[in-house]
Amino acid sequence: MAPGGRLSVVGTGIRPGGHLSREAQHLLQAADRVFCVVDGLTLERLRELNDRVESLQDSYARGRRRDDSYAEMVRRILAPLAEGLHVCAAFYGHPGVFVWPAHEAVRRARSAGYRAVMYPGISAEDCLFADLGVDPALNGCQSFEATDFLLHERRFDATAALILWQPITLGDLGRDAFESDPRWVRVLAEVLAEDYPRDHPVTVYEAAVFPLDEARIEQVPLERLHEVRFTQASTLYLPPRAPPVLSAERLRRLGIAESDLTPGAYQLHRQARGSTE
Amino acid sequence: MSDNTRKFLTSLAEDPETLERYRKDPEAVMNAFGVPDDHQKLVREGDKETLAREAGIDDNKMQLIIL
Ligand SMILES: C[S@@+](CC[C@H](N)C(=O)[O-])C[C@H]1O[C@@H](n2cnc3c(N)ncnc32)[C@H](O)[C@@H]1O
Repeated sequence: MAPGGRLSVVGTGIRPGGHLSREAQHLLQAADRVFCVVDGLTLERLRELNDRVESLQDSYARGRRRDDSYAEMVRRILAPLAEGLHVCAAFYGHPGVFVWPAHEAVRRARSAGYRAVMYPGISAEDCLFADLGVDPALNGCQSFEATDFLLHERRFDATAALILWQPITLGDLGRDAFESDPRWVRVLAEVLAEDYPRDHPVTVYEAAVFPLDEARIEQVPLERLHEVRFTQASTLYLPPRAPPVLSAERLRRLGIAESDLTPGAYQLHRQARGSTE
Repeated sequence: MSDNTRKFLTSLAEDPETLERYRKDPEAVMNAFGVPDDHQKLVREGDKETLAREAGIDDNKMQLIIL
């Protein structure tokens, strides 16, 4: 281990530049090397802050297994630590939210004895809460990777919100393509229809990244989910089927009656709206 | 390639006030940034690919999947 070798992992948010935090800017400026997975405008910003910026986009290749790309990214990020350098790895969004190489680089750096810190950023989910006007507190909120959700037995709660990430990878068996298979999307919809009405609204959400873009907020009934076109930026949002049910058993255990409760404004709002928000 | 176009795009992305002004009067904001006429045309046509290229922006079509 070389003394001085240090890793900072930052998120650049979704809106290029606008979501770049002060602490991230300081780290990006101070680092000896910057590696990044970011959009073009953010890349411009990073180059203004540091003249040793290297994009990791060339670690990807169509037909190459994504995990091989990620392993290469981690190798590239960690290599300068051995020379005692301060490396800053910048990922769009939050660097710790649905990002394998970021957590892996921190783990590896630490186990090799280097100081490694992850700094949060604004994730796509944060933008979703703002753009769709939903507070995760209102009904509770569950996040899953779409393929992982489809393949495993899950005891999720249809009275809470459901967010499914990267639906574009549905059906990507070899983890080497960037396109979804409508057959898998159809099966996902069938599985979901075991817990939601068939016409339950699913929102396909894409936060605006490029400055001239508007967010994509497209609602489709569950049974027609296979008809929509996903991009790599698509995230699915399902509002709850119905509000949660008050537990008589919990009230009994607490020795109180429903009339003893002082519902919060958010809970009253939830009851009034029913569901599908 | 145009620095002015790039500055216009980066300002729009990071400054919601500039974006609001642009929504109300796109031409005035583009003129204030000195965006050349041919690039203003690309903006009006929504040709993001050419626009990004002309503004010297790399990696505009990026891979987003990192899990
Ligand atoms: C590998 S994850 C990375 C998420 C990122 N670290 C973050 O904090 O948002 C990629 C997935 O994030 C979601 N995502 C990325 N960009 C998005 C955007 N502009 N709008 C909505 N969802 C987005 C999509 O579900 C996409 O397939």
